[in-house]
Amino acid sequence: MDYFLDNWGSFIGIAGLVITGIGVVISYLAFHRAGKARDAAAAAKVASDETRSAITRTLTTVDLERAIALLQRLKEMHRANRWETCLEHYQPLRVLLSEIRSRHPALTSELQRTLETAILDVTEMENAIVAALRESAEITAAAEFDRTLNRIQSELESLSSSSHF
Amino acid sequence: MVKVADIVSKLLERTGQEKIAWRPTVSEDTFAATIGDWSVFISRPRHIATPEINLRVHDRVGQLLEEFYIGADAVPTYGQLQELHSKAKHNALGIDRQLEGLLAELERV
Repeated sequence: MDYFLDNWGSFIGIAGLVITGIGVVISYLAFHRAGKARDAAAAAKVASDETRSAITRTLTTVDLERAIALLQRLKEMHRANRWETCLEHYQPLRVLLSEIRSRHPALTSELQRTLETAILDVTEMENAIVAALRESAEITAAAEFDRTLNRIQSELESLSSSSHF
Repeated sequence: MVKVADIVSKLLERTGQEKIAWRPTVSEDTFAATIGDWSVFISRPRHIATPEINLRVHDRVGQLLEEFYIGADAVPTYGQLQELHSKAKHNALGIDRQLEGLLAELERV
């Protein structure tokens, strides 16, 4: 007892060391657990990002296929001189192209330009047909329209089969 | 309300600074450019007998927002539009580059 009373400071120091050691172990375990939680949260985020990007890829591929099918129908209508009917198809095509463009802001500037150009071409084609029909004028640029639609179709087909998405 | 004259002035200024990339379209003498979420078309309509220049503004999906037919009586906007049409054509078709190529070829032959 006397020994304890004489050396109480040392005992308290030892107890302090033990408590500190326990604290360190607890902190380590808590930190470790938090790290695991952080890893799990990061993994969940990665999985969620990958799922979102897979869905976007699928939607974009579907949109591209729909746009390609629309272009094919437009080409057939142009060749059959069904100008009034084809006017109904330009707007959905423009919207599809625009949606593909906005869904993928990370597309390379070249691909963005391809879609931009396609929208401009379809817009002007529609405008030229509307103006000609209004004036009851002959549509003289039919061959140019066909060439342009072929070009857009081929660009979209290569976009669809590429790994850019 | 935004005035067409202001849009024309700014288009002319930015085209002069080569900040706008014009491109040819399926219609002869019609040139188009995408600027942010909008596209602009400038043309000299052939079906109109009077000398007018047509300027169209479309939204991001190509929906027509506004269309202007500017006649020679609209001073000074008509003159600016003539200049804009000419610059858009040069820019879209790369005319200056081609003329430089021709000049170089003439020096060579």
